[in-house]
Amino acid sequence: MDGLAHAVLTLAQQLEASPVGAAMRGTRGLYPAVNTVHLLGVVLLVGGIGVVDARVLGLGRAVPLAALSRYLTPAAIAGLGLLAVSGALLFCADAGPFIRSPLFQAKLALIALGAANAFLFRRRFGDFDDGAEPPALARAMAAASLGLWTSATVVGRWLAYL
Amino acid sequence: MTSWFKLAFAAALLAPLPAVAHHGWSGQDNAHVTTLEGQIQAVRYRDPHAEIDLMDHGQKWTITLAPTERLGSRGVSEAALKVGDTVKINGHRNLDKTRYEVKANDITIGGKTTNLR
Repeated sequence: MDGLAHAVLTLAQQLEASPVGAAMRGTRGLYPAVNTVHLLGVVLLVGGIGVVDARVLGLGRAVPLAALSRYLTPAAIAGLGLLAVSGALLFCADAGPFIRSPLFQAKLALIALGAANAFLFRRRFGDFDDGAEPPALARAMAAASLGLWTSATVVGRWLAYL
Repeated sequence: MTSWFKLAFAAALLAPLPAVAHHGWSGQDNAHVTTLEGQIQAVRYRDPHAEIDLMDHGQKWTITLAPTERLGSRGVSEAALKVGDTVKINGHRNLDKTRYEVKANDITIGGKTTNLR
């Protein structure tokens, strides 16, 4: 256990010392640019999947769920992709302190749970059939999705202040 | 073991790592301005915020300045911050008084004061 934690810490320190880490700290305008991409990723992910989640929970029943899900789920997945790439780059700038931060560790756990919830939801329900209304399990997972992704966003924002 | 469980497990494994705060902090003493003057001990001209270490009356302080883009546009280039030079800063101290940390409102280098906010 301790050996693995040590290996993760070593990897983080290597990332911080890498040319990528140095570029993130020292290249003019790069850090704010990557930060902006990270923000756009949050907009796509939380905005996209949040609207689908709200519809699954029963809001906006005038909008067909299947069509909404087919349209917005790819946007949310694209947002997750932007977040992963930009997040990895931002991490490299201060990888050592980040990996030791309990808040950062909590954020990783929330992201893992959010991704797991989304993966299981997709596997179980897909985009739903036309005209179908979601069962209770789907509503519970949609509520979990809203809670997990907004929590990851809140914790992520606090990383800059604690 | 499913992939999500592996991810959660990996995150949980990090918990035994020693905890340290990131460079940021949330609580500053906005009711009081802290003024420091002394020699620059170290310069970290970097994003998201540049920092200097300052020695004032035998106490080393860490001063958070501003993002490099802002510093550069206001005339505080990396070359303007030299180890050994004496500078003066006004700012707000971390509410955690065990930490000698200040977020600077302004910095005076060679008689020229630059607003950092």
